[in-house]
Amino acid sequence: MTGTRGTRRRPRGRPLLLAAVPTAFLGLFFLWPLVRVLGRGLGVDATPLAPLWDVARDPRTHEVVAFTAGQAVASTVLTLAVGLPVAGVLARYRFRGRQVLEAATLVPFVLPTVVVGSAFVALLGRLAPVVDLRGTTWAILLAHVFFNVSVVVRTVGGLWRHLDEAPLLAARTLGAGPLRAFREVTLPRLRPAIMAASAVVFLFTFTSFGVVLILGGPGRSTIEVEIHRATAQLLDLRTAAALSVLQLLAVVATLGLYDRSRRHQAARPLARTATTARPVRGVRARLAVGGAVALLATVQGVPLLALGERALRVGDGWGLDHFRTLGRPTREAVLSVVPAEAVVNSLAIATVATLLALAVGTSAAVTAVSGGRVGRLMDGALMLPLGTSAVTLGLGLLLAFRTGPFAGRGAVLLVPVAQALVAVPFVVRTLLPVLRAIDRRLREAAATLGAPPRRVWREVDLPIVSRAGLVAAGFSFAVTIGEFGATIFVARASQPTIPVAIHRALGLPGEVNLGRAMALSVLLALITGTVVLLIDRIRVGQVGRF
Amino acid sequence: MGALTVEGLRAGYGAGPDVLHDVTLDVRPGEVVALLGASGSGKSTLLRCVAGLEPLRAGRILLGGADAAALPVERRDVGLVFQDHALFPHRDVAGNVAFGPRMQGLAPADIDARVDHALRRVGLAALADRPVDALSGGEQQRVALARALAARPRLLLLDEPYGSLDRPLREGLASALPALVRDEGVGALLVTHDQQEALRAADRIAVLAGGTVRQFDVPERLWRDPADATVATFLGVGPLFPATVTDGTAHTAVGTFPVATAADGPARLLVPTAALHVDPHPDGPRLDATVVDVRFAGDAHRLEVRSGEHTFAVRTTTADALPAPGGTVTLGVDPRALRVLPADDGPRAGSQTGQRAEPRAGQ
Amino acid sequence: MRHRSRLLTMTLTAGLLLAACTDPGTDTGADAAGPVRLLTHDSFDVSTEVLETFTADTGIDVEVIPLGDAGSALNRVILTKDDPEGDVLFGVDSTFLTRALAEDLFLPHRAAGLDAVDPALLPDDERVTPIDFGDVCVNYDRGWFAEAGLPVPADLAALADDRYAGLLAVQNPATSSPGLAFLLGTIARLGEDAAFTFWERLRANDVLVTDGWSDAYYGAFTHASDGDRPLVVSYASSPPAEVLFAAEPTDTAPTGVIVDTCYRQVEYAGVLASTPRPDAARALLDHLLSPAFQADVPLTMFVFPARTDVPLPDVFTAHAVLPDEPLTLDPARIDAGREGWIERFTDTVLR
Repeated sequence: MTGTRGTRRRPRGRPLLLAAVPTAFLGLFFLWPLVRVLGRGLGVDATPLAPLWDVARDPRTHEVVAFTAGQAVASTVLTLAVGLPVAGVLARYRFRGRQVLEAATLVPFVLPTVVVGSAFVALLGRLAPVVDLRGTTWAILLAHVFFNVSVVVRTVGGLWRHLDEAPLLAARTLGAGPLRAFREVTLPRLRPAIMAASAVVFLFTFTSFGVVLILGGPGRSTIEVEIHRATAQLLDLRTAAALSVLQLLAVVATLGLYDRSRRHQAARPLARTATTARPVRGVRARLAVGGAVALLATVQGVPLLALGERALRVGDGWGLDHFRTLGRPTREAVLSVVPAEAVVNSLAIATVATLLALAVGTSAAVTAVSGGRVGRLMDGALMLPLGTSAVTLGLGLLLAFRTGPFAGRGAVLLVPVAQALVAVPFVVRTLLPVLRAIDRRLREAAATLGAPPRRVWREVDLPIVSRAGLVAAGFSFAVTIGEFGATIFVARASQPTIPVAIHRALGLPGEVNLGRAMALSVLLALITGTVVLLIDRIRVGQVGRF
Repeated sequence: MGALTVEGLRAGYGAGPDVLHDVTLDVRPGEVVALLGASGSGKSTLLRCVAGLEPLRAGRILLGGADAAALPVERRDVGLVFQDHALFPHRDVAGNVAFGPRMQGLAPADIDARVDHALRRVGLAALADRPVDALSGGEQQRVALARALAARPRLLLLDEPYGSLDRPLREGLASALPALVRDEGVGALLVTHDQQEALRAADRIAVLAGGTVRQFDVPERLWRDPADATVATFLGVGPLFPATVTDGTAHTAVGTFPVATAADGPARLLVPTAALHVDPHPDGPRLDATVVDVRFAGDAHRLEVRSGEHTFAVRTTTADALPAPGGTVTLGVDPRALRVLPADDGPRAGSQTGQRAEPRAGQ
Repeated sequence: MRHRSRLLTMTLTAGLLLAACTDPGTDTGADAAGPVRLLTHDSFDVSTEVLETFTADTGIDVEVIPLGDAGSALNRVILTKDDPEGDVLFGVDSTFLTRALAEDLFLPHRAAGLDAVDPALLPDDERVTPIDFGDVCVNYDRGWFAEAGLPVPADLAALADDRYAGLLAVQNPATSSPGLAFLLGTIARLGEDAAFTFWERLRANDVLVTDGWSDAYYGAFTHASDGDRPLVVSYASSPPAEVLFAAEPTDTAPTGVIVDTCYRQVEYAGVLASTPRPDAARALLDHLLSPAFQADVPLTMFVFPARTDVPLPDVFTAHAVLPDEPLTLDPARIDAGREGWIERFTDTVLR
């Protein structure tokens, strides 16, 4: 018997070694702080679950949970109502500017929540003489639709575009009218994408923080906002921790559903397949395209215009005054630094956070794709930070690292760490599909041509992944520079980031503060918008979809 | 010394059953060996074992006479060409072809020379700078071949290389393979399920069924003396009739035929279609058949006929006396071409004996 | 692989180094040469010259770090107790005094100038020093009531009268410092149970509850906005502020204060226990009680100085009301009742 040894040569030690990076990072900066929060909140009582039980029984909790879930469902339904027709039109018709339009829908999605909050403060202020939606649930719903429409357009549109039209035509020749054919043939095939998009939108709106903090009010707060309120205003860590657990449970349940719907989705090839889009001909097509463009412009364009208009409005006229005040201290504006310094802080912190997120996310994605139990565990563990309240994370980091290397001068490191935690799932979600889609045979071809395993990675995986890596870096940057929920806790008061500065300015009276908030929001929107449009140019495959 | 020798190879996936049992074959330098089998017969597994991509359970693989067991994939000197080409999407044509020479650490000038030579061999020198996704399927296949050749392997492994191409292209590329292999002095193992492709490209053909080599020989011998009913059926040599042999005569439902050397007992009679001709009054044995269809086939007519439970095609050039569909036709049989095969040679037969089926002697 | 993990290690290290370098040097409380850091709430304000005097006298720069509203600022300081973001905290009001003391945030310090402070403001604890005080009262729009021909509500209880339905704006005590003060005032005046009966009647009277002071004052108050509420919870110092900032000079304040509703808040400061620079911090705390700083607070923060020996500006003497017997609650009682009262308020008024 001369059976050869395993010729696949996958040394056991390597995935473990690589897994050490994300494991250590998540363990130290995610699990440990989480343990601290839960310990502080739940560990003080004789019976550990008593706070949870108390909070769960509290009618106020029921009200918050009901509002949180209710607005999330309403937001999801509204987002689908706007997103599906747009997705259909973008998938079915080919017209000038379609790609630009599609890229533009992505911009609101990555806009920081505080910017969305500012935009709607500006918009609702402008609308107030006609219809006053300030302090209503509608304000929250509209803001949620604004920045989640792209999830539906991208996820559903992506599938729709590649749907073979033949079955639809077959249904038509068999006697089904257009609507009937859509319902019987197209809709069922779109369902996995619709389910996935709904789950994502629900998740995002269920955990909504910045938007609700700014646009909500008494009786209109999500669990996430309540966690913040319990901590920052009431110093009631017991309730905060209990609510965090509640939120985590809800999110894990949603993620489970999301995962199931994702698994039903057919794997899509990396290569762009032919689309079924056709040119716009005829009145109905023109109406459809025109309607979709108008709908998008209303839902996504108008709030941004309102933001820009408010930032430029000075008294009864227009000007750049609000932007000019960013560079100098004023009596009315309460911040320990001039806002321009917050911009510099944010850029530096987001850069570091992006590097961190890339390092952790890449090693995690490579581990996950290497398969085996380690890989599967990694895949699941990486989604955890996404499911954990950013507010809880920030609070945990604050509690866990008040002493030691991250105290004092070192505390400045906690901000990029917190932001990287939020960005890592995005990096992994961007890299993983690309890594998975690399044809195994490409690696085999390289190996038979004489490339040892390490060389195979460098010659095949790396070049293909590096484009996705650029995309991941861009997304990370956009996500981290706009991160608010965790940053608000971790950022030193003397070193605010742009979102923190915006939130502070929005909470203070006076035209100067409002103007500054708007000007900073415009700046932040421009930064993230530019990054996202750049990403879209190098987008590969289904990168950037969720 | 052979380019490749496989001895008693046994392989399978994971904890699953054996996909290959006791496979033995060899490839000589400059020779194309076709591995012919239906899908699921294990031919791609064999190829992957040779390339070092799958572990062996038993047996040996010798490359250039040396045991390959200790050699990892990248040091086996084999050029693997995949069905869907597996070109590197992030490199242009020249970049793909240069990959192997680069891995060997050649000087840039030598790499260029290798690339140039390989692309010329496949007739794509003009497309060197093209991105690979701008190429047609046939061009991609030739790039994949050039890429494999440029690494100067001692053995080419071609896994259904023409499977995704149109028939004319497939035939052209398959026909060009023997000369290429001869000129480059490499051995080639060609996996295919298409008899015509195997015939065009191969010097020798190994018929693989049920995870074992049923017969391994030059094409003429395979068609003339198929080892068993499975091989005969897969090659499409002709109809097989259940028969009983007594004293050199095979008795079947469609007539009796002289079979000189066959042993008495139950058997199956193979009537190669090449041994049939339309003849109302044959001198020797005859076979009566019902005409199902008549088609003009360019240089001859093709009759679709039924005899017993078998439907098969017969060519005839006697255009003046064509039978009509539904009528009967008498076919003359060349008795020298008749073969008697075992009555039963199910898939397990080969594996149970563990022996290569030997070609039977003719009459 | 080794190559790859080295790359990762390098990236991580580079990232951390870069992060360390981004520190622009403002968070350097541990350095003896850096500024002394004053943590405070967003309403803190002081004339630039007053802080410059301190720097001129001591050679120490002051960095003012606002941390949100008064409650949030204190909570932030408690959460970062072991690793403070500053050296002195200013702005703990009587509402949260017990919590601050219970957390043991401050070092004992007997500030210079404490002898000149109104004895009524002094706590029995050396860890906090009173700096200023002010009253939260219901303000009314004189013009609106004159035009409507309606008498101004005489006292707290009158606010629940039918004829004042839909006129009052208050702040949510869960999110606003004056809102909480007003709630405490109703409890101090009426007792706990009667207070919430009163709130029930206010609710029936269509009281408007906003999140913050500016939403009520600049969003709903008839005098300061296009809102429809001529009664608003604000400060006793709001009328002088209206005179001071009036578009056209005026002798009479356009707004007034219902004295019976006034609840007193005292603001304290303390040296943070974990400050690396206790001496500089003590010097800064002394400065907060210096005549220069004390004289500056009325017109910058619209509160009354804790010292009795500094002159008040004319606009204060003319237009500010200083109730003789403002409502107060014992800090310990506040601390015991606060969360429960806020919850009860939410249940009674907002649900």
